Amino acid sequence: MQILKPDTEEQVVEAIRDAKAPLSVEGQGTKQGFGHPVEVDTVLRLAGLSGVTMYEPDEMVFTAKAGTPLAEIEGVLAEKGQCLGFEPGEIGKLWNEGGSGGTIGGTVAAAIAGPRRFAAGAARDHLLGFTAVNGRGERFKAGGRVVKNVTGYDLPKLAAGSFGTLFAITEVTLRALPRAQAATVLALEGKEPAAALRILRAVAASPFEPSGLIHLATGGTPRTLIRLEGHSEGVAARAAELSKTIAKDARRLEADEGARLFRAAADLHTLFDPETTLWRASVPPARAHDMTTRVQPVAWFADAAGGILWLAFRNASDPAALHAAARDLGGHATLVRKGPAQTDDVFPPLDTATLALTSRVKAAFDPARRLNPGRMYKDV
Amino acid sequence: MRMPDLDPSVLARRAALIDALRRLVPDGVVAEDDALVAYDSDALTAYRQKPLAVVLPRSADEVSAVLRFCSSNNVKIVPRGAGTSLSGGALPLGDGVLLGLSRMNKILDVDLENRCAVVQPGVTNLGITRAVEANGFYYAPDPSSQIACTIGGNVAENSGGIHCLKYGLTTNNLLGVELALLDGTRVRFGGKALDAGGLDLLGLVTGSEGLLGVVTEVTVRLRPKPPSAKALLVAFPSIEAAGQCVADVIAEGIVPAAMEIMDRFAVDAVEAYCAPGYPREAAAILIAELDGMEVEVEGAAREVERIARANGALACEGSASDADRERIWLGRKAAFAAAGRIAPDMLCMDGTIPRRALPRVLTRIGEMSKEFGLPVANVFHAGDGNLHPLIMFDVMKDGDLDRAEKFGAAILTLCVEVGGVLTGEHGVGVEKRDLMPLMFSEIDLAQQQAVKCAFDPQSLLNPGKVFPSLSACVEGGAMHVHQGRLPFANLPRL
Ligand SMILES: Cc1cc2nc3c(=O)[nH]c(=O)nc-3n(C[C@H](O)[C@H](O)[C@H](O)COP(=O)(O)OP(=O)(O)OC[C@H]3O[C@@H](n4cnc5c(N)ncnc54)[C@H](O)[C@@H]3O)c2cc1C
Repeated sequence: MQILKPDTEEQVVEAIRDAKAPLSVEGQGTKQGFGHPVEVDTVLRLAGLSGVTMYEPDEMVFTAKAGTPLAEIEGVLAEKGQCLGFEPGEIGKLWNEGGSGGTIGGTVAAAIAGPRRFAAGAARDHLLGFTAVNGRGERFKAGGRVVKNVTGYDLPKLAAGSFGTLFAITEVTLRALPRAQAATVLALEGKEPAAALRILRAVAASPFEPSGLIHLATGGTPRTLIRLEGHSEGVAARAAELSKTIAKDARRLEADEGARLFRAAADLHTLFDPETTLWRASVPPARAHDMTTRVQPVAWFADAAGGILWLAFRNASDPAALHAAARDLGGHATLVRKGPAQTDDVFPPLDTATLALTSRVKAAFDPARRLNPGRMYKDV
Repeated sequence: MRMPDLDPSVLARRAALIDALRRLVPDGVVAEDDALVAYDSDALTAYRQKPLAVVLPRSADEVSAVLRFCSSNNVKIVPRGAGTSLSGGALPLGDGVLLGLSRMNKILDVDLENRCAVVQPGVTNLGITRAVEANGFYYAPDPSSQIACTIGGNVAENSGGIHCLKYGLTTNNLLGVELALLDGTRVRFGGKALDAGGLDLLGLVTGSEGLLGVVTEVTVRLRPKPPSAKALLVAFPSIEAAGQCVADVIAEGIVPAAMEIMDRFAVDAVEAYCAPGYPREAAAILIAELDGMEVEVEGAAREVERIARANGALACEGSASDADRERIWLGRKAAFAAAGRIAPDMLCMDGTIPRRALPRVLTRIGEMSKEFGLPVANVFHAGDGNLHPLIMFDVMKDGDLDRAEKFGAAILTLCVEVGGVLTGEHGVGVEKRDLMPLMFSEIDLAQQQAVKCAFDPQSLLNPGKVFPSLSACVEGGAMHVHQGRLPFANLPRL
């Protein structure tokens, strides 16, 4: 296995332009377990492109080279009291316990987001612009550095979640958000799943502006958590009102404990037994309970009031059954951490027309299929 | 404005094509010359062109049938919602079918359990909120044109509105779309679930200005209506002070639902038009709206007032009731109409800049107004740096349109120079098409055009919009780029 480790964008251009065979594109490689294995002899490792190149706290925007460690970005933002609004966790540790936390480019390319996604949006909603090298070895840019921008196609949306299959991202420009002045987590314990999910949906439909609605059924007593963030006065008022109405008898967690639980929900790896296979399903929130009863995970956790489900299985789960269950309920499922030698569909199977379109979009960026061929879909 | 060459073979077959279209969409074809006049422009009225014919389908199947027919007969298609585009996105082509979606105006499903609604593309933006407000919900993006504009047009333009500061643009409020491709096939991206799975094609087609496919169904996210809202009307001695106040509010982590600035010229115009009672001594006014629970709204309003005073505010008035709040917004919402009273014609520009560049850009716009000899009123979505300079002119006066366009281009050039972009919410259309090279290199544009080819290999969907040169798709869906040069490099550009 040959590893190319460019330090500059120019070298990325050369590596791709001169490639004689397909490349596996990665940041630090922490999420290589996500998606189908890319069968190639050469890895293009972008971790060498590192550093925050622009940060304007008053404009709440920064630019970083794609290989910048996620932790470094969080540190730089924290110094100015800011953070990434979509709350990405270090989910690379799902595959390599004790490993590193991954890069900002990989975080965006794998569309990682934590519980605040419910209120603030996903990686796609925070990526303002990027620079990349396509499969023809051409450097191009898209988007910009301001929040409101409809100049040209919204390629940043496409970049988020493209898993290196369209282009190698070399630089990203993202929004930063001020850290909330205050946060409170309300907890309900021991609720049955159906009741817990009903409460979370009611909070979601309420005007109390929750910034995290999760139900943890990952072992021990199930916990239903409601996070409120903002200015202290408002948070206190919303919490008081909620505990009187929708979330009766909710307990207010100590600040540390609330933060720890939400951090775990973003990082994921501490929630699930490393031996389990792990799925992520997105179904209409009111169908979340149908999904868990139908597929019977050994452990699971609902994010976004049931809009996202993380489902763990003891044995290699039956992928066809999971994909079918999610589809029947109006959503889709993705196999995040697979069992050994599992080769079935990882991403939600596409109908013929969408698959054909997906292949044409791939060809628009990478006609010779040099970049992560097959990582998302077999022939794409 | 140069548009793609007319296809003589299409013009020669006009009668036969119209007959065939009438069979596909009975009662839904407009082809009489005098009736076509009603469709000859969108809200960028400086450009007019009658289409070959207008087709008004009633169902997604009819849309597919028309697309399939146009594809096999090599006829261009321009999708149209309500025709309120300010960038000429729905400007017809003389040899193209104008595909009007306004008859597809049914709300298909209101699903409050899942906080979403499924609607046809011709439903108006406000129509969605009207259908769900009795249940305490609403659809957040609120373009000023919301009574008229369609959700399909909003998706195509990724439209914004004054409340986008807190709630995001169209793209942040969609769950799914159904799209009819050029060959008539319909694909679905997303649905009622939180995300779409696979590549984010939903995100890609949002804001694609009708160049990638025709939106035949939209699933939007609904939000619970905030229990209370308060508007603050603040007067500032200078536009810089107003801009700094906005920056300071945001930096403190306060997220108002909206923050809008108007300059004195705009204030004078709306006072003459509808007398909302804005302070006349101010060089600029700021309207900030806070929403949420009452204690929180009151607390945030006090904070904003404190920050405003620290920035030298002359006066700060909070709305005492909902009616009062509406009065405060009345003037801002009437700004376009008011400016329209002052001059016969108006160009509404739409650049976005980093907030901090606001004072510099506004000063320069003031100077340019003198240089070009055309008045300009400034209203803008200050919270996200989205400027709407309204350039006033008179088409009947010799050279006025040309000067107005040059003035507009100079403003947008300035926006790009300070790190901003050509358009924040109105789209590129024909208006900003030839300015695209200011922001993008030939390779950047070729890459975007390759995406177009992946969806529309025949280049029949809304050609002549967005890209300064026409693309010819080569085999494999990509565009031919030779040593970094575009084909048609000799087409005129700015
Ligand atoms: C007074 C006024 C105020 C405005 N205020 C705002 C504002 O605050 N914020 C803002 O963002 N915009 C604003 N606009 C601009 C305009 O209203 C928006 O761009 C709106 O989304 C256009 O919708 P429409 O239905 O009129 O689309 P049209 O003007 O008919 O079409 C716009 C574009 O969308 C394409 N299109 C339309 N329907 C479809 C479809 N179903 N499938 C595929 N493509 C389609 C067309 O080809 C065209 O490119 C304003 C316009 C006016 C006149």
